[in-house]
Amino acid sequence: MKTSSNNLLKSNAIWLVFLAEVIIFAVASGGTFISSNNIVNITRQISYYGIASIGMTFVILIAGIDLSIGSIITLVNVVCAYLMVNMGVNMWLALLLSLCLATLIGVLNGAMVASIGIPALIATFASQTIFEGVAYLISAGRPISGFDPNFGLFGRWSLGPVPICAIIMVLCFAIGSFILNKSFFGRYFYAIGGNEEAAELSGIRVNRIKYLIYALSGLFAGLAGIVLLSRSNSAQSTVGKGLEFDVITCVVLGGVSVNGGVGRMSGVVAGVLIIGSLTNGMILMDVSEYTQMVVKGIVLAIAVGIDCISKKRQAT
Amino acid sequence: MIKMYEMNEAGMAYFRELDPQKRRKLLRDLPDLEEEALDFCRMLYQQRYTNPKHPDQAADNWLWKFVYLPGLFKRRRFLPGALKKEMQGTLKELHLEHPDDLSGIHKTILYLEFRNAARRYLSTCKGDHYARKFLGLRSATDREKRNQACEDIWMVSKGLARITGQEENLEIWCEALYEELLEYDPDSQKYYEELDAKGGIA
Repeated sequence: MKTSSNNLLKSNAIWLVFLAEVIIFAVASGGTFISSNNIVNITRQISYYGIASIGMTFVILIAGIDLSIGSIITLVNVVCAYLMVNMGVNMWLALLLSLCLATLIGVLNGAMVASIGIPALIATFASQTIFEGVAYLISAGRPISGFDPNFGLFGRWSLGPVPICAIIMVLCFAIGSFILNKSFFGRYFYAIGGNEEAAELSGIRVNRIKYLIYALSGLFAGLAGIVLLSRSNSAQSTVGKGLEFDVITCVVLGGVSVNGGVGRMSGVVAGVLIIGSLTNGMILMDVSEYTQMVVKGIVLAIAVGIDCISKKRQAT
Repeated sequence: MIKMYEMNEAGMAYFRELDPQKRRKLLRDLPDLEEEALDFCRMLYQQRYTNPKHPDQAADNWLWKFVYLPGLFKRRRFLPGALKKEMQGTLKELHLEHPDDLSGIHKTILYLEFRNAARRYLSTCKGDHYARKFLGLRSATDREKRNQACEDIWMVSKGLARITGQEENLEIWCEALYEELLEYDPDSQKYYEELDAKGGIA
């Protein structure tokens, strides 16, 4: 009985952390933190990196990493805005082309990792640098604005009290969860993360799955970029800088092991909520941006540290 | 303890070989086996190495159990339905739905085939990709690999048998995997027993 309640506590610890965080900020802000306006605000803030964290979850599950997420978000921002404003392309077509571009970058990452054998950290770091530069070249460092008013649908509009970007995020999480838990692909992700060689021998085409995973990571990052562009109503060549670290923090905090093969989508949802609330709470408390960076860095170090220590304990 | 039937040298060579193509050739050289037992070996071979979706592609459906089931074991609290369904399918695939109905020679063949699958899995646990740490950047030490292999074997055998209440049905499977693990790494006995006492690591 005691073991089972211990297990229950252990597996839901992340939600208790979130609850504790909400209580602390609610008390410290005199209730502002849990006001309906602020909750809507938080859901808007977390929507884009919540969406991006789904692809990152897949990548980390196979013991990989995608550092190019931030620059994909930036590039999609700039390209979509450029297509709509400078080239007069229809909004929906611009969206589609931008998402295709994001997926293509993911495929490129997959090719570097799976076919050439470049370590994921280096391959995606190279992509990050390349596409950050491309975004800057396209926009010439200047913001692009003046979109179709309907473009606000993805980031600023609401369905009743619920922001549409939050609905998109929930849908993406549902799709991500379905892929992980109900589809064959999800099984393959865990299998590759657990033992790549055995997965290959058992009949899985590991390289193809790696391509798929990086493509999905690119696609989700692209979607996050669209939501962010719609929300900010202006494309900037620096908008996604550093976002990958927020996303990695959410995923690792949510219990996805950096050693691969372990993790679940519900944990990532909790990770996203914790980081979103932490960011929002610190803004409400008037904490400077630099201090926020320090706090988030510490959270990432703690999350990874806990994962490494627990693995080490098992090994001794 | 399962009562084992004597296998001749050709039989043992077949059950020791890991390469499916070589095993196919060896399977033809098992004339000393009774026809019924030989048919059972052939059927197991077909079932194990035929890709159900793409028959032209190589597969090892039993090796798949070793890579997939540990992940399911770790998520057992969140996917109880999937675990139950998977275990039912696994028992069927491993011919362990009604182990008492199996004859002695069938049990022996199954035991040896399970050991073969476990040996094939454990042969992949020495590779550089196995149990890599921190986003795949650091190779695991030999000890880490051996401990991880022990955890994997425990999870797919005793661990799953215990949490699904299938200890009796999976007895041959558990015994075969345990024996193969000890042959791979005799030092893993202590760690295996610790895992067993703690009820796993996840």
